[in-house]
Amino acid sequence: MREDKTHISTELSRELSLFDITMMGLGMMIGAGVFIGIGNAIYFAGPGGVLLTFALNGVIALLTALSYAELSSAIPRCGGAYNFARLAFGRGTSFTAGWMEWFASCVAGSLYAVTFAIYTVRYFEGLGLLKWLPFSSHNTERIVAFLIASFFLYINYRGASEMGKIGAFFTLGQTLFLIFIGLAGFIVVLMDPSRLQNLTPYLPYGWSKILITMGFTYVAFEGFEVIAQTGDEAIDPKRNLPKAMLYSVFIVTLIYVAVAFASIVSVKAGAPGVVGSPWEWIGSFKERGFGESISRLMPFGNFLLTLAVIFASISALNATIYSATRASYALGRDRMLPSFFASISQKRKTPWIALMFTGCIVISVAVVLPTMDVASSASIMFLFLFFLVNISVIKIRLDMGDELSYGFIMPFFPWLPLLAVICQGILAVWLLKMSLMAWIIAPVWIISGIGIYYFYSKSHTITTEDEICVIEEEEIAPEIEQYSIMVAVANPDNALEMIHTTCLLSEAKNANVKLLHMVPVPEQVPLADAEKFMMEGKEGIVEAMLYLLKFPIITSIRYCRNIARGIKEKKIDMIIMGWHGQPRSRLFRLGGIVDVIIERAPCNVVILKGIGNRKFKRILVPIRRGPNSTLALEVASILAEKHDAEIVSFIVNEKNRKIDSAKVSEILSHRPNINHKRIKTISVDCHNTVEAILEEAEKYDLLVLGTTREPL
Amino acid sequence: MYKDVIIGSIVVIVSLGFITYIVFWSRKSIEKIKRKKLHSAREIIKGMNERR
Repeated sequence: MREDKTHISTELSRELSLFDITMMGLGMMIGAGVFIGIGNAIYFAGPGGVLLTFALNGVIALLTALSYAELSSAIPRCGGAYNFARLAFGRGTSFTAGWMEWFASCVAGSLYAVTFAIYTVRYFEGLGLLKWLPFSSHNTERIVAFLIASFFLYINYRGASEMGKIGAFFTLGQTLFLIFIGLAGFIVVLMDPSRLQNLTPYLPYGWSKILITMGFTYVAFEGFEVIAQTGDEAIDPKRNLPKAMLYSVFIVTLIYVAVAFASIVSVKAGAPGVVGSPWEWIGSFKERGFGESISRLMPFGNFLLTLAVIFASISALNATIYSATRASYALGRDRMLPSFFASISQKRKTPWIALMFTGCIVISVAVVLPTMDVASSASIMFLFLFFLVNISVIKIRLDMGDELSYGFIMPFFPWLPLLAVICQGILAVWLLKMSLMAWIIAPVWIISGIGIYYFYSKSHTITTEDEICVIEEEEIAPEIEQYSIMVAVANPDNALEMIHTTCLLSEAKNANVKLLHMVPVPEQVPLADAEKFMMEGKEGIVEAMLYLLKFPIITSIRYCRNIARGIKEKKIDMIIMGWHGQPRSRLFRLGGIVDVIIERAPCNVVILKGIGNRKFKRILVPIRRGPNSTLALEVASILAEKHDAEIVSFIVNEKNRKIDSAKVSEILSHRPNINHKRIKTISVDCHNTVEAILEEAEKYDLLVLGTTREPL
Repeated sequence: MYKDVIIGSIVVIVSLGFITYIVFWSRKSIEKIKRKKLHSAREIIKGMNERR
């Protein structure tokens, strides 16, 4: 929590649960590395080599995950490696970390686009639907990679966050599918133990080849960075960030080993079409090898696998694009890159220049480089980045171990991070044997980054708030139990009227008020930068906030992406929202946001329409069965007190549905804030309730309607 | 050849076992740090070494 100049406290909404952030990490990991990596790993290291590759990579990834877990628990803020390096070594190294992270995420995105293309083209070629194309398979794959990358860049530019919302379900689906494949492999072996012969020779080319395959499949274990990035938005980050990082490594390692095993045993030696031993046959397809083997494991295996790869690669592609955009946006925001990297599109409210540069890298790498060079480049950049994080964890613990508040510390310090550094160094060196191109691209990128830092960033960089706040992380005091009203303000034109009405209700109910400022903050921008979106052309809202200061009530401004979760988190008793009067789409009853709030918010919801700054002399409150009628009457009474108005409780009796007005009066007498002296009751018999209310409403200044159990 | 199979299988099993152990140890340690309200690295190391 922090105080700004107007003394209104502002907070970021912590909305991401342990499940959400674990799924985000898994989504990044199960993106492509496993689908492309298994066939290639079998080709280079043999059937035993692929199992060892994923098991040992899991151990090395765990060592880095422990470093990330310790740092994220102590510095739970968005920024990840960029923040850790800044605290450990200062701005120069921090810039290099951000610079590497940007490129690593971009190249990982390229890899996911290529994976999508390979498996989609393979599937349609199998159906014979691509014979008419004048291109080779390779060129078709590159065109598809270009198209899918462009599509997701456009989606990110549009600022649609639906992918992010359903991303967790995609990830869960693909994880379950891979678990299913792993189990199917074990079942096949139980039914036909002779398939274990597929594992021999275990290491046909020797142990040293494993280092190469570990190097280019390492990209399949990079998911901690995206988890670390959620530091500002995760619930209980000191506990959940380290857990999510470790759980995701644990889950993917088990899945990868099981799936690699299933891939090897899925092909029966001597089966039609299988030339040579099964592992040689799978390996001969290289990046398509996993698909070829799984298509023989189960009925519809080919179709199901293609579907899983499509889901996996598109969710990972989307995640890497916004992760890469966030990295370059942060560099621009801190003036380490020119400030236009942090500029936001007026129309779409997304960081379009950062996105455009990200897009150029993603597309050019996907289109120009061979697949294995793309995978190796992504792996090598992540190896360098993780190398820096492992060094940072040692430096930070030694320098600031007594000042920082940790939620987790790793065992065997500093031996485990040192071991990780050595292992990653070996893998990086061995990648030279796999891809010379990766070893040219990565140093060129890093050296150019160092050049940019010395010639530009060093003289332009600014001190950001994050830099100061890192060590001043405070525990938020528990909130006092009090009736809480949240007012959601989106439109500057009606902000003042809404705040005014809210203040009347809060005075009557002795409630505190939380101002929820509803501004769409795109996924590519950290929630910490939401203030930037609030001030643009929202003078009405600022005025409303200042108006709040005149009242002796607790006020705060909350930035959040998901209002329903924000309400749950802050234990809100009532939310007040405005409504313009017409749903923008026929899909909704009232509107996309209002419908969701009414359905999901665990509190009373008050919707205001056209209240303006008018005086109310007569207020109509239609009464039906259910608790909302009493709430409506209570709200009407509070407004009536201020305006000295008369309230008419309007009981509508339809045929066969009579309401006992005496009983209604008795129920209302138990409700506080209802002044019975102001209430006059009218009972009407009619055929159509809606028409009766509309006809009666013409004589009144305000209609207060509680929703009913049954439709009107 | 069989030597490779045996050593390779042991390496895979030990690796998976190591990962499982560290993950569950870490989970326990995170809960303990939270429960005992430990903050600095020094406090945590001291607190973790205490039996209860």
